[in-house]
Amino acid sequence: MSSKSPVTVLDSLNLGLHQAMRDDPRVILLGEDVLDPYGGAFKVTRGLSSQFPKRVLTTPISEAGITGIAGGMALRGMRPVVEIMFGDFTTLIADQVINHLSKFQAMYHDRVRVPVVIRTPMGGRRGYGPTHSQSLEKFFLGVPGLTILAPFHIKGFETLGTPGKLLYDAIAALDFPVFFVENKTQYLLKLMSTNDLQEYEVSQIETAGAPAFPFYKLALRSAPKAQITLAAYGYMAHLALKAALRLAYEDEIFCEVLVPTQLSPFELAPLFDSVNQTTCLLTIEEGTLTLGWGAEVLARTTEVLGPSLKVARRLAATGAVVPAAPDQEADCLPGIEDIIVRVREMA
Amino acid sequence: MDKLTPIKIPLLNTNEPDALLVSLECKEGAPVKQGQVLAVVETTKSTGDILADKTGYLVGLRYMEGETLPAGEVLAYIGETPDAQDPAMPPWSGKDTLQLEEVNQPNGLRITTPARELAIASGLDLSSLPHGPLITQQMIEKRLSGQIPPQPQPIPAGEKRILIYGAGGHGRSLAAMIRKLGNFEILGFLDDGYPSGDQVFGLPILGGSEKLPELAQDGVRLAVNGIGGISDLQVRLSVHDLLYQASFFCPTIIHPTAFLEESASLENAIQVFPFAYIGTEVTVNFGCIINTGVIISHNCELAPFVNLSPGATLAGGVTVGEKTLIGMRATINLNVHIGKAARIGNGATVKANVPDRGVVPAGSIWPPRR
Repeated sequence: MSSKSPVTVLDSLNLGLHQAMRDDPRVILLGEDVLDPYGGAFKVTRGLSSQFPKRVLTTPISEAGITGIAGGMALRGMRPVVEIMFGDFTTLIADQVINHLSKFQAMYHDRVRVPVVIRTPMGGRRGYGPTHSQSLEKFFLGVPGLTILAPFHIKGFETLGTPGKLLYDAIAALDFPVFFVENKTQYLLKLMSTNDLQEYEVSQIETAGAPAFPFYKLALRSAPKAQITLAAYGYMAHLALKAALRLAYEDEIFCEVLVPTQLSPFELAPLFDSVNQTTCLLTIEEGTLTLGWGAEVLARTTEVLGPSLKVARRLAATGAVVPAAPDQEADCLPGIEDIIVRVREMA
Repeated sequence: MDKLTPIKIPLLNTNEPDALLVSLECKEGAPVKQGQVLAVVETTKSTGDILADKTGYLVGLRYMEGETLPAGEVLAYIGETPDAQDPAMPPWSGKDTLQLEEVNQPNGLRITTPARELAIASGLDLSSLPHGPLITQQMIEKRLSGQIPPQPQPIPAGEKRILIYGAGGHGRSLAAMIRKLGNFEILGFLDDGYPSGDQVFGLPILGGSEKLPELAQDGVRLAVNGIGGISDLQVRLSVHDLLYQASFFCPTIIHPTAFLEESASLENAIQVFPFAYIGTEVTVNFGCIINTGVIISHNCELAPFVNLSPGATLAGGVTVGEKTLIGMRATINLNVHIGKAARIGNGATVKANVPDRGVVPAGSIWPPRR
């Protein structure tokens, strides 16, 4: 594993894992096929089993088992990181996460901690078919005691890059269960450096809560004030930025893009500030529409802003069972064109 | 045109359209020999060397180490000289120009498609537009419309004769500035209040406004507005009208000690006095006066005919509506918006937006405490 600066989100996450394991001997990694030379199905764990042979455990195909064991390890003072190979398989760990890991601290009257990080890639656009392409994080949003994070592909000022730093903090700084939502297509995204962000004015806004995971706000540089707020996380933030550029240059519709890194618990103050100015909100997610992330964001925004919010809509996956054929798969997942069409309707 | 031989990125692995540029073995402009290793690329399955096909110089390098190279694209060229270039191609870049598929950016200009189409359809010269701010259709319309008087006739090349309308204090300061700049020949003042033929500040009074047509006939095209307009803005504005009607053009005058950031954009007929500072990505519109020692921080926007008195200080992101006067050493806080035709008194501190026609008394704090 080279010690060069990370180029992609994948590099950044890999570096973050290396750093976390280097800094704390209590960090253990469990997952299926994570050993070198394969280094994990998406290579996020590459190099770790060679560097830390006793602390990287390859497991049978038993997601519930892996998660349960991680919970037990955590109770006994370790800091396990679990890789669930595909986000679709998180259905198998739901009981462990919802009824066990996220409740132990409260049920045992604050005498235990459960510092488990569960990382998994959600998302489609690879032709992997119905049960390997979904974005299921929406089912875990709002589970009490569970923190859900999603990285953004910006380099920032971190040597690890912000995705790696986010993962590092999740492992090292949080003593409660974390669901770390990665995305298969996002892995390959190049981390945006200052040069790549020339078209934008980027601000990093700290949210409430300790520790706080930042919101990023990106507006077109030296352009008229934004008329609409686009809210998106993970890979969809990348599509939102591309759409925002085209909308500005082709239609002179100016958007500002708000990207949270903490999905749950919901801390949306920066988003409310933006929508207060623009009065117009579009949430964009790869999960399905009904009772998804966007639904909760709209509900909260309406509660806080009331009639100041003039137009609010959600863009999400259509709800079809995700096909394996690439063109049909693209039809059911939101793309740049879909975002542009929707914003034009709203503006 | 120099002959350039492209160096194509090889397809190392039929399943992978991209390769990682692991290392570049020579720099832009370096001499290369045929067969020399220029770069090392890597896919998930193998590494490979990119060799020079011929001897020459490596030019037009398009990628940096660590970047992903698409197979079949050009990595660089071998030219016959170290600075060989193909004039038909955009400038070799990397850091300076950002090539985005989403946006069409002619020569580093940031311009929306509707704006570009309107500009081209109206014959507006794209190179006259500022670099930095995003040019919108509305901005092009403003340029084209009567809101800002366009240049009615072209100025003959080499025409340096200039008039100063108004021989008062402001006009004389302008005379001093123009003398310091040395790029115009001051014919004299026009002023309805002085007898023709008098000498003021070493320059002749040529007459009043009635003299404009004959001077224009004579081929004089350039003028500056020497009316400060503090007590009566209308007088200053009417001079602009007069000059426009008579086909005169007001160039922007900037004192050599004033500092303007490259990314600031200024319209015509602006006057920038000594030691003024105009910050990054600031827009100053037609006919503004930026007096001595004014500080305009980044991203401010001044509408036409704004007058900033000596020492006025604007924090970043301040927008000022047209015809507003800001007093001496007044301070305006970050991102405040001041409306049109407002008057901010000397030494005032403005911490919140001021409405159109608002008046902030000298020395006071805005908003007023209850």
